[in-house]
Amino acid sequence: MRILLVEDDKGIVRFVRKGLLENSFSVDVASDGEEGLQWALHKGYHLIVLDIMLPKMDGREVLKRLREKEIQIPVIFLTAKDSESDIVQGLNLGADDYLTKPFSFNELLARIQAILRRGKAAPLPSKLQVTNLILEPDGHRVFREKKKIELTPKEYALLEFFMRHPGQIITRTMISERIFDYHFDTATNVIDVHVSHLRNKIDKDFEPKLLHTVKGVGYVFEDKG
Amino acid sequence: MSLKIRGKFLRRTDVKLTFFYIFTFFLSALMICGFLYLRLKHQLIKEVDRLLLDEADELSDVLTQDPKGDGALRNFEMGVVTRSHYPIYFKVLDQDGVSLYVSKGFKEIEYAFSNKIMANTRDGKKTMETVRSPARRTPYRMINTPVYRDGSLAYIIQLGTHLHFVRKSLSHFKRNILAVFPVILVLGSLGGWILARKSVSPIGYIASKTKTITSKTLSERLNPRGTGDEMDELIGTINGMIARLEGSFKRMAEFTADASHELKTPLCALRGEAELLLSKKRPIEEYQEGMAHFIERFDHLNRMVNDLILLSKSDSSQVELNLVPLRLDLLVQDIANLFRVLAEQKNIGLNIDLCEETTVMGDKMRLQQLFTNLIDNAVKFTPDGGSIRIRAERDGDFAKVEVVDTGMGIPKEEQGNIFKRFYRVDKSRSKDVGGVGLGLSIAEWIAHAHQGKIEVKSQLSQGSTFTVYLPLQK
Repeated sequence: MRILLVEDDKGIVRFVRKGLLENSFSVDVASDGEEGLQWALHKGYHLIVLDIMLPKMDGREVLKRLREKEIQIPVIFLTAKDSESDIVQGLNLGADDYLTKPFSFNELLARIQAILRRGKAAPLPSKLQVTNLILEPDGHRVFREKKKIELTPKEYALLEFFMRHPGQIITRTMISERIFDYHFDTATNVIDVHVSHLRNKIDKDFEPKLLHTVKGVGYVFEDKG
Repeated sequence: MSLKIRGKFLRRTDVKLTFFYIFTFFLSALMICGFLYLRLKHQLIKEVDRLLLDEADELSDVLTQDPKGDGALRNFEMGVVTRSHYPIYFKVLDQDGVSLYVSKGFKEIEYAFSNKIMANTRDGKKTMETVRSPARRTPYRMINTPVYRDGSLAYIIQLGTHLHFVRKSLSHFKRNILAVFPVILVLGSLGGWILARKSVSPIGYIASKTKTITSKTLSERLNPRGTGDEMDELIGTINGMIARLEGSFKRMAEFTADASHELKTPLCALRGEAELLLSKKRPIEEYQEGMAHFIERFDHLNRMVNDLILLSKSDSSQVELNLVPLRLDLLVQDIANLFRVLAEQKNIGLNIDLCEETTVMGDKMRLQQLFTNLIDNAVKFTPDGGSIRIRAERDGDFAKVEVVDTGMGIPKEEQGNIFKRFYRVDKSRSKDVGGVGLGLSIAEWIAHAHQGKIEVKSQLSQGSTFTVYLPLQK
């Protein structure tokens, strides 16, 4: 998977590039808007991570020209501006997602993976299974070791979200936005409490453990055994 | 004097005022003098008229007592024509206006007998006239009187005297006025100038004093003169403005000081921890733990920076709200459900009492932030085993949401301060539960930005009630 990173801040380039390389992406870096546009036009990338405030040509202009040339490479905006209107404008120009600075690398990675996986999403299976944990979307039923587990609707939604992204880091922000439709970064550990309730029901009395905490970042759902 | 300086001089308020003053003063003095002159003239002529009337009566007596006697007329003439100050000249005519007797000196007056006089006389009226012969400087005052005998008009008397002394008195008066007028005018102008200067001088003071006030000397005030006039009112207004500026500068300074303190402390701690981690070789788990801790600290700092940016943007009205119709009851319900787990951890009962559909025009994220701050506070400050009640209902044109806790409460004297930035009621305790004291400031701003308001009622050790009012969608 080839990713183009258009960003002028060296600090951000350093960790994003390193992180992506470690996750088996190949990364090219352009440090201003014009260079970014040239590379995006002539090389086949799977995804572009595009800063908004760039020298020479700003990110919105780059995206606009790309879309004018009918180039539909997915784009994730990075922006220090978190006002709604900027975000809305960016999405209207044809961006696929956005992240506001400072962002967590895992958040970026999760969103990149989500976008790259999109489009080839398999039709909803009638059954999701990780080892001995089974989730049936049709009847909203969950079984572990063939024992039925009662979950609240939110816990069920949370588990389904985890099981659809096995092995992928799920950040607290993603949980709060996708599951609770909650867009504000609270200082509380409320998401952790919800996850721990779910863990108590599906993991506590069973082996192997499936729901793991990634310190300071979020969670990953997988069979590590 | 260049044109420019002259232009500036003429534009000065005191100069304009003085000119206006001089003009009106001149005009009114002129009018008063003119009026006095005319009045005096009228009085003097009236005096002369009285004299003439008396003489006419006397002559009329002479005529009626001795109709044919020229001798009596001549005697009368001798008595009056030679008078040194008011010599009387007269003419006697018959009822048809034919001259019967003319005294000495009458001819020189060149006073003609007109049809108007004839008509007046036939009606039994007396006619008085001032005549001015072209040859003479002195005008004459004439009276025409009918004389009756046996009830019918017998004679007409024309009788008059010169107005030499009247003219003299009047010209005397005129000379006096002309002599005094410039003096009055100069004195009046001077008075006008002084008055104008006096009324304008505070403006100069206000201007020069206001010019010296900068951000560093905001504690200074203009001195009112204690006259209670408009200038004092203006000075009061300006002082009020300076006081408000001083207040907001002070708040800004406090805010900056608080903000830098709140930012520096965790930065310092972060640096210290990182240094410590690097100071010697450690097992990998320790690094991992340290790094995870850093991320948490960074998140905390990031939230605070976001809050600070939001508040400073709100000060300059730069925050745009993305207003859409929102089901407020559902929004509150969702947040309450999200936070229920935190309450349960502390064994706090969370009762939600949402009576009906309430739709407001709101920014979803901001309203989530508002109610999160309130509910989060309620959970933090309610002791284990307490309870929190959330009620939403309509109240007139407003949606009203109450968050009632059974926490420690807020002392009366602190209630006015809790919406201030970085304000914490109980410094030590608040530190334990986290937060930097911006939550309620932000909540208040969000309520205001939605044209709503937020109120607090609280009793120590009984609990607090925060009430948010948001206008319903029309």
